[in-house]
Amino acid sequence: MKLHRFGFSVFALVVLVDSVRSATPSAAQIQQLVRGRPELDEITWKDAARGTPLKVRIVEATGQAVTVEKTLPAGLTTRKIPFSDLADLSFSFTSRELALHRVPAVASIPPLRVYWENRSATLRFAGSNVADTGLVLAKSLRLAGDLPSLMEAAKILDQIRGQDSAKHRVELASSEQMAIDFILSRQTGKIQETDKLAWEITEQAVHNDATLLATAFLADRHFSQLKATEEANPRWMEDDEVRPLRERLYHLSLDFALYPSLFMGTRHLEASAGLKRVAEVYEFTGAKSLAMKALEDLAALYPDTAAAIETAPLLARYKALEASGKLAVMSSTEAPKEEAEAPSEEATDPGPPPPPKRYNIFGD
Amino acid sequence: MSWQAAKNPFIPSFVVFKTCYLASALIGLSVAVVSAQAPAPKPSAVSGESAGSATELLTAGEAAFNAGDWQVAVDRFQDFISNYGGLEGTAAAVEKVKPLMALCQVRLGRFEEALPLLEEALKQPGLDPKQRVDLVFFSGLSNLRLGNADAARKQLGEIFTDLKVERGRRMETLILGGMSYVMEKNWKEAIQFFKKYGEEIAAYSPEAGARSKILLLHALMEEKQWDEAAALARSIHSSLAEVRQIVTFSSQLIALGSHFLEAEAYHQAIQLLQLVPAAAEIQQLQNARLAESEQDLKAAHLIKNSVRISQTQTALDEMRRELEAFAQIPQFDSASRLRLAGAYFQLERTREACLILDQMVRQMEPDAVVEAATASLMRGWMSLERYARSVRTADLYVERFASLPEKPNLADVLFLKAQALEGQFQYQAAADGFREVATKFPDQPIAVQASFMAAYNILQLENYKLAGTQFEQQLKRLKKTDEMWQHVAFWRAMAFYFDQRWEDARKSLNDYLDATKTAGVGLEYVDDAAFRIGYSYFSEADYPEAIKRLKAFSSDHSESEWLSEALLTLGDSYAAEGDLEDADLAYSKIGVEAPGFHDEGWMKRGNLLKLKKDLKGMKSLFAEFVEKRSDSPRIAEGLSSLGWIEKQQGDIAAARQIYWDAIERFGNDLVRPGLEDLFLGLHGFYSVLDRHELQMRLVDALAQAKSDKKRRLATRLGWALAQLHLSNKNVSAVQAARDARGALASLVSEIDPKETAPRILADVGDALAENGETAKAFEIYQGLRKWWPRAPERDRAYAGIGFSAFRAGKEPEALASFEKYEKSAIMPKTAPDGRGVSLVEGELGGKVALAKAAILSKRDGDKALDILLAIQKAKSMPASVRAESFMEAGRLYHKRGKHREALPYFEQVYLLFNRFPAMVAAAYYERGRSLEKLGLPDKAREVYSELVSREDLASFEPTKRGLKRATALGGVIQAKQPEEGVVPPSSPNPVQK
Repeated sequence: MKLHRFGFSVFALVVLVDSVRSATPSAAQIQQLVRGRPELDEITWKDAARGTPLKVRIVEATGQAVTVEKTLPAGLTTRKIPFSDLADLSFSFTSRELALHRVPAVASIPPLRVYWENRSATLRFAGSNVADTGLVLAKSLRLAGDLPSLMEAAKILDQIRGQDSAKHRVELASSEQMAIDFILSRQTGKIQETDKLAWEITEQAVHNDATLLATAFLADRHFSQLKATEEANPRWMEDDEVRPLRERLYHLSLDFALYPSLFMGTRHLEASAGLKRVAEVYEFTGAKSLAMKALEDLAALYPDTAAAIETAPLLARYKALEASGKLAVMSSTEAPKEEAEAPSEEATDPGPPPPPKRYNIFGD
Repeated sequence: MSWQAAKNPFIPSFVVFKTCYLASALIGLSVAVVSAQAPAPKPSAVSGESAGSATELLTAGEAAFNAGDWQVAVDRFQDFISNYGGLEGTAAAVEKVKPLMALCQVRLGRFEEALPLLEEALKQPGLDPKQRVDLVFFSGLSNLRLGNADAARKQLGEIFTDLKVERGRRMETLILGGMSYVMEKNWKEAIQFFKKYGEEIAAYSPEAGARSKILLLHALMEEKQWDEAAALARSIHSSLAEVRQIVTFSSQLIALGSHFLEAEAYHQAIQLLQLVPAAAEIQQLQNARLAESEQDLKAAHLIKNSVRISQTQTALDEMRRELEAFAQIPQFDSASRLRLAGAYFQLERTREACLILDQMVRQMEPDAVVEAATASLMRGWMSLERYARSVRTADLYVERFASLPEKPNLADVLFLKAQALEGQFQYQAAADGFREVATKFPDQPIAVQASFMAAYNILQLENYKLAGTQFEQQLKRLKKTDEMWQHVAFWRAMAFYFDQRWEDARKSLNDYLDATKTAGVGLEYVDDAAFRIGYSYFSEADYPEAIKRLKAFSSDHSESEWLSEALLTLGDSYAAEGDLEDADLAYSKIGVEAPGFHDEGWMKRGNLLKLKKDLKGMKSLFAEFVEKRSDSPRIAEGLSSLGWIEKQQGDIAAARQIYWDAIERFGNDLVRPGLEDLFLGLHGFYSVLDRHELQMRLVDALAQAKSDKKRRLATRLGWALAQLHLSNKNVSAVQAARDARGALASLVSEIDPKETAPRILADVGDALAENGETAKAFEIYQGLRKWWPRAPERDRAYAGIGFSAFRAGKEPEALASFEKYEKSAIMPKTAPDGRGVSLVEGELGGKVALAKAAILSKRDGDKALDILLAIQKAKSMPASVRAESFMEAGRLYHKRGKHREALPYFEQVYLLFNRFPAMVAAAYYERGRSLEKLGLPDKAREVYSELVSREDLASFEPTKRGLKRATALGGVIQAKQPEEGVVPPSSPNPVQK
């Protein structure tokens, strides 16, 4: 089955949903779980005279206060504590919550949403780690892919970016927001804007979901343009006007398609799809031996993926052609030779090195 | 004693117990002692801060124990035993305190102190079974830590084999059991153990399972079971969320990947190395695991499980230590990424390796490793001919490593950058780059090459004098036996040669050739130099010397790549000297492996026969050519000669038949140079009187070709027919052109651009465009551009596409296409004028310039005027184009309201371009309009009057409108007619002004 251009995301989603569905509690169950959590959340009084940090169970947070439960000798006590009384607070995630945090999934949305809604009012509060839940909820909503889910995710991320005090979470929220912006842009069908955004994402030089989405898009886009260019200019190699464009499209198609396997190699689905695309680009350009090498890499590095299984017969054909000496060697891939070390030059300016610049490995 | 033999497994470092029975035994301890009415302490034993009642000491000890303050707990319990032990009523309390003290010692890492206490406690009669399990466990743990592996395994195995013991405890003893083998470096037993019990441990706790897998991985690597280790590493990574020892595991991955790299199992190396997270990610993951463990610790505190607290705390401490140690590892990322790139390089995946390095060298802190990697990256990009990226990498190198004390690759990098610039045809920049290397690194071997390359690139720029000077300077520094000497010497001579300084060139080439007689001097250019010397004499028309040299060359260098050209030149030299026999011999020796020279020689042999008036010999020679070289682009030339021979012999019919036979034979061939000339060649064998016959024959042949579905032949015949129409003197030129266009346009249905010669496509496109069939013309032009990118007619396609776009109102596309036209035009260009405007000469270039001006007039009037003025000044432009440029300049000024400026342009049209009456009429009229706008009706009336007074302009619309305006302004003024006829009024040339 030929996957849609971005089919891998959907495919991944289905797999993930299937894997967690049976283990994921419903929202109603989670409401009960919130009540049944151990008293491990921690609150600190603004007035130190009121005592040391207290272990409680935070069952709800509203705009002005948190409702906490604590088992005292007299029994379970419930208190509503105004935020104005607190210096900071933090949630102690249960193992079930941590499991939900580890694997974003559509099926996890209902429970995550309950946790988030119960606690998001504490977001701007010192020490609050509710953004951890918000981030994974946003990611799960992004996997759902529909517009309302994406908008909900964007709203959550906006809250985190605007209110959370932890820099790393704000950065994660920005990164996730970028992925959502990209999907939304793609859904608008405004190709030029999406293209611009995709390039901006690649310039951030961070390996994240947004970069995976953007590079997959750009690999497809450049490959399509490469095909169109060659179609319109079958003798491009003789054409000084067209050749630079064709070369650029060729190189960028490959560079972008290689991105997942080189930089996010543990993302098997995307990495294998990228290598398959690499083989397609080589195949299209007649570089059969390079196509075979890409398929060899695919088979060796990601043998269990759909892409590897699907291309196994093609690889076998290439191998047979190679064995019979019929596989044309179209491109030189000779590795650069190590050269003897030259005498070093004396340092002229021993000042500190400049910091790495903002860059894009795909730019020529 | 092996584990298996004992059948009792065990021991963990990070144990998570649900309950500690020893701890629970503490509850109520002080109450029991108090109720025993303890006597006063032994005075001698009571000391300092530890003084207190038995109850106080036990209570303090209990509190310290619960708080994990092990040392204080030990002290208090010891005080209790010292002060009250042996007193009546305290025996039971002492018995209970000792195991707790043992536990404290375990937590304090004082296993030697703990062990006797534990053994003593285990001897107590009536020990609670659960408490006994705890004591055995900690005794086993202490033995393990003290290196008593067998004793430890025996005790831990006792717990594991007791199915009544809580499962968690049993699983932890399992891990400790496996670890005992690891601690003994007994890898085989460790592997066997973890393989046997791994699944059981993982089923109990994924986290404990991951821990046991990491131990197994370690053992497998130590035992060099690499494949199994690799598979296990991948399996562990797939459940990374369960792994808490992220740092340890990452280090294992690198070690494993490095092994496969060394073992040349590159794919396996890649598989493993790509699992290694970046340092920042490792730290982030490890911190997350720390946070999880801290949660566990909180939970343990909540349920007051002291064993669990202590074990979790141990795990936390270890993770923190690992994290701190990890933070100190320099170049972790660069080491990891370099290995990965190395694996790709070894697999000859240069692109992949370069992409990895490209990212690495930008993100890593500059150091020696990154410096070397950046140089490798440059070489990689160069090998892929990605010159732009190579230049960028060099710039990055210079920028980032400027402050490094050692930059061993700097010279290479700068040299490669210059090469990359040369690869992009940026010769001046390349020359500058090479010069920089030579100047900055004069003592390095590469400096010599750099100096040579600098001069060589100057030579590419055709600055022969400068290049020669640079070569000359370099020669002074080199010994003749130096490797580079031969290159410098030869190209120094070639600088003279290209500059046509023949004598100097010969001297330098001879110096080089003389030097090659000495051992150790490079011989690379020996044949080249000899040929150049011969050719230089030929260029100076010193044919005897040229003959001498080239003859010697042809015998001395029979394998030289220059042999064909030398033989041709030798033949020419003989011919120039009148030695036709030797000339023929030289030409005939040119091998067909150089087809251009070979065919040229053949044609020249024919000319020799022609000179000798040997028509028979000529006929035989060209007949052989047509037969043997039927694929040659010179085929039409060969046939033409054959036809000419027949014509000379008075047999015009035979001459025509030669052509018709050739058309029959080659006319439907695929596109190749020379075929169309065959069709045009026919015209020469039909007189004006016979042209109808030719036309009819072409029409018949065309019909036959269509009937036979010989599309290529039909197209060529149709085109030949159109050319015949064009040269028809029996009709007006306009009619001839119309007929030709009709014939060409009718071909469109037959044409497949891929199989049609570009000159035919260009003619058909032009005809369609002229007929107003813009869309069809556009398709034909596109076909030309698409299939014949190197054809000289390509510029016509760009112009045609531009005109089509212009007519369709697509002005940006039109301008883009005109720009391409100007780039690809085969016609010469005018030298840039004062405003930097340069134009393609000729009618088409002029029309394109006019169209550009028309487009620009809407957005940049000044620029449009610049173009129009440039056309006016370009004498090489056809008059029609120049006339139009004056007209358009006037109109542009008029539109801008600058009527006074418009006047002289209109005036120039009717002063200079009376060959174009329609334009002259318009110029008169529009000049009159401008004068009216200037408020000069009398002057305008004079102009209108002059217009209407010219009989040659009477039929044009502007003349009619001029009459109306003249009448409106007071009537037509009758001009005085000079005797010689109409003389237009004079006016200064605006350009001259």
